[in-house]
Amino acid sequence: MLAFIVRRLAISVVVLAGISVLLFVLLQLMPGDPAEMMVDPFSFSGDRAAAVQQRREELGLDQSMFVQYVRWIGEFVQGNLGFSYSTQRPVTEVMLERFGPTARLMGTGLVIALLVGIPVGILAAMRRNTAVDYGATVLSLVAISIPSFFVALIGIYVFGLKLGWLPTAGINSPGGGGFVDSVRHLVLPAAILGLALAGPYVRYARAAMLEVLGQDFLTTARSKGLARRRVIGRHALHNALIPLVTVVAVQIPTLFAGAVIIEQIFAWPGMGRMALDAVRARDYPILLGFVMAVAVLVLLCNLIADVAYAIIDPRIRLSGARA
Amino acid sequence: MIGRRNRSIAAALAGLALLAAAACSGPDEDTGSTGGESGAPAGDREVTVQLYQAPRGFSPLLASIGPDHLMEQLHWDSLVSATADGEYGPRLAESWEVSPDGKTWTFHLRDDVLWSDGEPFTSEDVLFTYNVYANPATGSAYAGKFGTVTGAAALADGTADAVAGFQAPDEHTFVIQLDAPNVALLDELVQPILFILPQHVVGELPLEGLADNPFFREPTVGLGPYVFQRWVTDDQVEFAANPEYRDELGLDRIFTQYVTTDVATAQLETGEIDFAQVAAPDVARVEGLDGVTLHRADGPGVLALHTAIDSGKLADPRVRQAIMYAIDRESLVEEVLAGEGKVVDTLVHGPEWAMPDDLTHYGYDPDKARELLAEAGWDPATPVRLEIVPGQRDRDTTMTIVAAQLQEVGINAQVQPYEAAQLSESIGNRDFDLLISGYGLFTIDPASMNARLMCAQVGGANISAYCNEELDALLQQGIATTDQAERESIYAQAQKIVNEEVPIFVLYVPNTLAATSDRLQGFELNPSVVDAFWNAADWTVSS
Repeated sequence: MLAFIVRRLAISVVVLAGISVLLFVLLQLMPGDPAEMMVDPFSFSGDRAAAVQQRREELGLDQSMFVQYVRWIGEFVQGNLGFSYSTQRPVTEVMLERFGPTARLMGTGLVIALLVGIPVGILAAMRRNTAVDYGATVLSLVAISIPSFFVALIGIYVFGLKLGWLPTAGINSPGGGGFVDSVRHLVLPAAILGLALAGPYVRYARAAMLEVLGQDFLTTARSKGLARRRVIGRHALHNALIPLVTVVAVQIPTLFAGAVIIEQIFAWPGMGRMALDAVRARDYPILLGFVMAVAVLVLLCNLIADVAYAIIDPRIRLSGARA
Repeated sequence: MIGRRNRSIAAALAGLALLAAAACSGPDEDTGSTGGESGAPAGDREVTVQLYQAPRGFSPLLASIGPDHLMEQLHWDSLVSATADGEYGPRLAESWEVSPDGKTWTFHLRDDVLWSDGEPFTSEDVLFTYNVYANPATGSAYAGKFGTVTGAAALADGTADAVAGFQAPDEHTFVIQLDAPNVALLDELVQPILFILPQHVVGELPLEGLADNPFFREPTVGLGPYVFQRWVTDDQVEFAANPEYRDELGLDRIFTQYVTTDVATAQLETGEIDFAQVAAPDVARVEGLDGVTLHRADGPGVLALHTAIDSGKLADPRVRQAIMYAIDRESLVEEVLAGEGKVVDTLVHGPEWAMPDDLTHYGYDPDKARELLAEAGWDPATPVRLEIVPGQRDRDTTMTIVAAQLQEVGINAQVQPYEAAQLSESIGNRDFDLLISGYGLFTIDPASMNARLMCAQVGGANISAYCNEELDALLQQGIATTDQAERESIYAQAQKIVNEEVPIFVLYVPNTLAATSDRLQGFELNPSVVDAFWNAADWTVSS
């Protein structure tokens, strides 16, 4: 078992190293020079070329890509992600600050998507070919097809401007504002994110449920004279939920991509907005930190999953050892 | 099969981790302050004001960006600044005078000013700060402003520790001694505003690379009416009334909030924000809002196209004139700006005395443009890029129209969208054809064109790299002459040259537009967009 974990860890490190090299190369290929960006040509007064060169040396951008990479990875393995080019703040500090708001938005969005999507999908399957089913199908297709930025703008217009029920943007009122204030700011962006995701969940939940409902063991259960509630609630639902877990998981990246857009529209100070601002400002340390954090998270989860799976099913461990 | 299931379980776990994190992070634990009722814009004596870009901090030494400059007006203070009437106004300096030879500037400082920690503000602070500005080693973006100050070169090349020409003869007097006369020195001090730093605090920090010191992210001492308290989030900053401020203040706190102008306009409507910039196309809508006041002023800056003259592509003045004739600028103002602007034919468009009446007006005349191009032997195949960072409606539309109008007269013009980083790089590489940018304060003194057009500024603020000896000589004379009638005639000649040579293609002068909620009283619109918080000390809220 230990050997298995060590081997998986080693593979993760290699993958991470590969990702970091790729990232470094991609950043270099990006047009625009951060040092030039830091010395604004329209407000700078003096010898700009010298100032740009000074910046370049300070940031180590005058070194070869190889040297830059070795330096960066050396700091990275010690847990130092460097300093933001534009604000000079430690990258870890900036990212930790931004993680909370993003997690709050995505977490709430996911919960809303699950609470809405799965019951509606199951209901549609059970009332197949009725008005409920058609209604659910149409609404889920609408949710899938309309881009979330558009829904967001409509939402702001209706609930923020016309009805005045909810704030139009931001994560809190000036200075904080307490729990109720935070919830009021969260409702609209989280609901829009959640509903966009609920669309696919409805479709999958309906399909999974229909598949299970048509299977022989359910016919058997029914013919045994089990109560309808028990047949649906225990046997059908239980089996339908298993493939759904997969679908929910696969949609997580979509959720993240959606959060980036929603953060932008609602001026939500999360990681998505941070990453976009960093792209514009060519803030390489922030960008590297952001992508590496995502990569580490995914690899870590993969590792945990593999280990957990190996514990459940010894065949994986054995086949792995043979390979 | 196994691999796929593994992955999905991993992703599921990732989802769970996020959920857990969301649960942990919960709502703000550190509300820290009395944000008032939920949904209420702010407390009784609080206002929220918009920043149209993400702020970095409070370092006045870095090349200025709008949001930082605005926040710095709350937190720091300066000797002078431009007023709403388009003049130089006193701040820390009560008065000033220039010697008849134009070489000695004397500033008389207020004696009733304390830093927010209670330390007195004196001429030593000014002396310290100006030495920091003049020293490129600090990372100062403004060393170039002090090239003619006595001893500035010695500081820059490291042979002196301080600029000999900056002097503090007593606690409340500051003197700038120049090698070459400059009667328009104040222009250098107001755009951007050169804020004064506390020597007793900043003087303790390492001089090398001072511009980037973390102190400027969370400064502990200030001099302005509202001093920095904390970053509520990365784009919201809280300021509190400076307890030592020289006048009584009308507010307890100010929040600055980075939101785009579109969002800010919506927030004005809901009362979530008290000050916002207004885009010209939104004027009619904002004017129709209840409880919102629109402020409008003639703009001091320009929206202009810039070419790298040293690249040679548009080096022939006839080609540049042709471009001016090819563009229907009056229609641009009408269509794109909804009439909120005007058309001018030189970079400097004020004050009145600096505007000779014999300037050529570049009205829309495509035939004349074709004629001039033919005369210059222009090759219609030459590609001409219109470089722009997209995202502002008025500029985006303007560029599309300009491209079509240039094609109309036989210039192979194409809009080239760039990101800001690429744009800066193309300027560094001297590789741009018609780059759009808006900036400036060109209405107080005609010497404001010097930074953009003099040979000595090539490689710095003169991004076009335009260099004309005749104009240079006139501009030198212009700042060396105290006699008003003489200056008038010098600038009449200078303006004529700029008008004919078209070193910079001025498209139009947009009006300065902003809106405030009726809660915020005492706001006075400064025509210079980046100086909007110049009179924050006079702000109050209506009860």
